[in-house]
Amino acid sequence: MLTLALESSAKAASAAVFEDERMLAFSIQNAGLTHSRTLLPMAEDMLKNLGRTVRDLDRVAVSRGPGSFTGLRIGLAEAKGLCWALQIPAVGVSTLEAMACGGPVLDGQMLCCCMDARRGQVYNALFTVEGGKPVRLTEDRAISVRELESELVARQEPWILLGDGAELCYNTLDREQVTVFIAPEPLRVQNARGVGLAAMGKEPVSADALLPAYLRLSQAERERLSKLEK
Amino acid sequence: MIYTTHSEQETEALGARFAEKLPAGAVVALYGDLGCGKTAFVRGMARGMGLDATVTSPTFTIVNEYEGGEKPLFHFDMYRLAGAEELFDIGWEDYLARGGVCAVEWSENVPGAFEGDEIVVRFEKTGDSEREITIEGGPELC
Amino acid sequence: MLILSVESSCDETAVALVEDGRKVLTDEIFSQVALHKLYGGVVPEIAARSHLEVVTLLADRALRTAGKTRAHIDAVACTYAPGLIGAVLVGVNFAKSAALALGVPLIPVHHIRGHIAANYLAYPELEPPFLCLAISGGNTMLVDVRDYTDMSILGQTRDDAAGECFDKSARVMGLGYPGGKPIDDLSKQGDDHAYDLPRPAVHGDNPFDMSFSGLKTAVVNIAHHAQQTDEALDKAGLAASLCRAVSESLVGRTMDAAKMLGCQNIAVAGGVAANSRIRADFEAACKEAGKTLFVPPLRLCGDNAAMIGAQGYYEYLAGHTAGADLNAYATMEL
Repeated sequence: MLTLALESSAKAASAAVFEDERMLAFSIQNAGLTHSRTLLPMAEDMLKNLGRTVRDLDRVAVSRGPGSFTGLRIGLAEAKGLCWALQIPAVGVSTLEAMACGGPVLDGQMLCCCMDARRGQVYNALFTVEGGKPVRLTEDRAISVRELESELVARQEPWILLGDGAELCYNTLDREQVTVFIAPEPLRVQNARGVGLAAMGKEPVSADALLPAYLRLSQAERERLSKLEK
Repeated sequence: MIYTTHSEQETEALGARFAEKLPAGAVVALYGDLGCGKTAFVRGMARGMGLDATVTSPTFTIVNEYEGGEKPLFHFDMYRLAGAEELFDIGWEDYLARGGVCAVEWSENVPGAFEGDEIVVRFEKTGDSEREITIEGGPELC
Repeated sequence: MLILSVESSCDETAVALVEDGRKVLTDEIFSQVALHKLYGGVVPEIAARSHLEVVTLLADRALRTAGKTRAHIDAVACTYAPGLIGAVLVGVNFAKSAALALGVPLIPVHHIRGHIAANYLAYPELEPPFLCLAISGGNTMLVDVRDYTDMSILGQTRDDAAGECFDKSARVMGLGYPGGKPIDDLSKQGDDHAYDLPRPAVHGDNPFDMSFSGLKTAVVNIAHHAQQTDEALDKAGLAASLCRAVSESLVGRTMDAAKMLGCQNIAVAGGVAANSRIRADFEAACKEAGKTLFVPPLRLCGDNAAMIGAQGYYEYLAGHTAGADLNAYATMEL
């Protein structure tokens, strides 16, 4: 089974090609160009170098969110276009899960995936690693760094911070109370390799049913924060 | 600071002076009723930012983007948005991260959109052509 | 040549199938498709600008309605500019990956060119050159259409779009939004000389430019004065006077341009063309000047994908195709 994995929720755009469980190719670009210019050409070139075309694909895996609004739309729209045209299914994965899968997956590690959601908030999920794979401890959620701190302290483990919110957390969390390490840069952010790994074993859906999962703040939440900020 | 203008041209000129020293990432929330001069003010802002552009009302398009100067100007009109819920759907958060200046007309429609560090500009009609414009925050005018 | 076209530049999402730029097999416009038909059952809450959620559903519907399969598609066209960037990106990225997967050309289309091309769908005999007044959504512009892919803007609004003037005037008169139709209806009962509204003078180098914000402000002032002095507002008269003022501006500029260019054909594209006063004034002016008037039916005047398929055909003939790196743009020259 040939899978194209796309990731466009972060500053870098990336694509990967998997044959069943084996990654055949992986490409990442982070030069400030909009993903709309770079993502599909990247995928097309990669397949060409493998002696294939998009028409050989059996499945497309893509990040559904959270992440950049425009970035996610680019990846999801491209996945929908490919899947609709080829009549093949799609697998939408959580950006945070893709981040964990593409991170330092050593058994026993505790992974804290964080994306900066502004206003002292992060999109977050916690994972532990078993059998070389991340296992979810929490759902994806948007919480304040303070709330995250309480949870991490309560769990009493050392954590590896991943994501573009890692530095924010590292600098804000009370490191007397909780032990945190920042993962090295290449392993820190979500990418297509992680998307492909996260997609394995997941039930695919039709192009119609592939939907974003932004995790945005509700109206009530916004107004509450706005009052706090004044 | 409160300013009084007596014509659309004067409102534009005020906008130009206001925008000259605005830093990248500045968010300017405009409040005021129909016909108060908000778009004229933003037209002036574009000029003050060195942008050679025809600034028209973004009521239908929701956002107009003006690039070509030192930093871009994103001109929003929340008139057609039902509330801050719809803000995300227009990519509001991504605009904030683009290092430009965001000028937002009809900010009344999106309570909760701003993070507390926005510059507030209030427009009040004190006569047919006269406007009272109050600016709270931001750098000193040139 | 069968083109699958996608439009998602602002509020609307639409997918159409157009043959040879002139024959519309189907135009699936999201806001007009009954949701129960889309889902065949329970109707979820979907707001405008749900481009990502509905684009594939509309594409499926288009093929089904037209009785075609993916193999019939010869090219994919999409709106790539101008518009709300998050919206345009969905259409562009869906279209380009579909084109890549189908192995067919990708045709980027300018949204306003699309509105102008709506005339080709309504009038098979219309060919460039002609003069086109495009008054839709946020646009008010006078375009010299020299050829299918060769056009220039003769004049445009310096501030508010004409339609916006109607919308905002309607609001201060308590008529609801959108305001075009209520103002039009009310104007028929009023005296179009009831109020003396300003005729905006556009200062500057371009005599064909227009301005409507002064008109809007005048209406707002009149409404507020009436409120403050507790006078009764002659709404019908105000509506009629407003329609006359807007029409004089639009029709006047257009006819002046037609005279200057010496062109025979005048087309009016866009939702504001539905206004009875504007239509009537155009018909009268064209008759008097011996010009031929083209005004498409309302369903082709709003945002739709058929017009994109029409213009797309001519862009294709002109060799304007794009690759997998096609981007979307919020602003773009015509």
